[in-house]
Amino acid sequence: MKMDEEKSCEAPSRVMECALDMGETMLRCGAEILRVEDTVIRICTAYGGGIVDVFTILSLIILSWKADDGKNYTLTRRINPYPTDLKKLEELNALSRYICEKKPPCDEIQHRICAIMAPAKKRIYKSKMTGYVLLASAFTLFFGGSLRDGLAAGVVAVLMYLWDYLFSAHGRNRVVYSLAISIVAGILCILSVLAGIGQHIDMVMIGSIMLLIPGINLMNSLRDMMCGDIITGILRLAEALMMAVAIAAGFGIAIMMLGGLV
Amino acid sequence: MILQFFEKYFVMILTAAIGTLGYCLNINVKRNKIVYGCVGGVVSTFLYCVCAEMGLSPLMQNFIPAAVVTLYAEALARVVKAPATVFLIPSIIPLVPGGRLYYTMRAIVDGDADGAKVYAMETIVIALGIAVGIVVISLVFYHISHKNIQYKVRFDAMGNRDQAEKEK
Repeated sequence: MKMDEEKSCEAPSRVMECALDMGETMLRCGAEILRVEDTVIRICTAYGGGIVDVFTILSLIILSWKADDGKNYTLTRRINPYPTDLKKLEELNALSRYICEKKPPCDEIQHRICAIMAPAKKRIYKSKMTGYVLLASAFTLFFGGSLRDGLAAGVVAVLMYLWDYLFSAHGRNRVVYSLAISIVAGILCILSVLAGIGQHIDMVMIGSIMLLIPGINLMNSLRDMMCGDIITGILRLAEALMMAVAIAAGFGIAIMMLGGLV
Repeated sequence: MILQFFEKYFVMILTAAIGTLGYCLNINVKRNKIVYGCVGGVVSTFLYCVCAEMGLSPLMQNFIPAAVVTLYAEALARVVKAPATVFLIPSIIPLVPGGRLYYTMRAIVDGDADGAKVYAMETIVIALGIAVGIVVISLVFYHISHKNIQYKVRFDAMGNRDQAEKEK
């Protein structure tokens, strides 16, 4: 009897809010649809039986629940784009395991989600900047550039990170943002070669293209389509392709503008 | 032979490891999981080099490393208890056809239609090889691990209730 009391002290709408919070944060951090839907269903069924229906696409979660009290509840939530963050995703995944095992009160869940998703202070992250530099320089060498090209790509990567820091793409159109940053990156690459740091314009540019390539979108779109979530798969694929085209166009524009100088 | 191989590809493998490390930092992989991503990147590059040395077609050159790395990531996800994506994305990065994408664009800008066609074809073939490699292996794991997702609950429950009422 005591078990029942404990279970029923969480109102269905509260549980649904928590489940949706989990789903939203996971989706924003770059989870697959299947993982999101599975998490939401598991959390709802952990706090009470009933029948749970979830429909998720890239920008929307619809959750409908016929709870134990016999009423139907529905919540929808709009999802805004957010940069992929696998560390947060991993922590959320661990949290959802914890929720289904221990069934903590809803307040605790929301506190924990807030703790994970706490908006980090807008500052220059050394680790992220190092990541940019290592990625650009290493792939410049990987595709056959010289050491000086690697150095030039590193310099360009630092400047691109600063650009990202100033005009980060939260909640804006990512395709247009890729176009803008590609143009800037292309111009920076050409200038770095003009300044005499880099030797081969091709290699420096390839290094900085690797920074922008929408690899995660492509990967997630494949995984989604494979699991039967064709809609989201196509949405993600379309976004990834448009971003790839935008990147190519951005560098192309930069070459057309300044290409004659190199 | 082995020495020659390493002489030829040592730079590639080393830079792939460093680049993968950079990518892990970029997408904020947890610090204690970065090393798995780097190992995956090295494995995929190494297999790519081996396949290239054996003279396989561009499709297979990317299919085999992608499949092996997916196997690695999915297995690791079950051991370390983290989403497979955390290991898969960094491991795949060295295979991504960034160079071909650049050359395609360059050929288009330069007005070289034939070159653009060739490079665009290569980009698509490589992307396809990676995609098929990932999908084939993931499908197997998907069917192993998602057997018991509940879709039919509703009608089962109704059926059970009806049966219980009949028994009354």
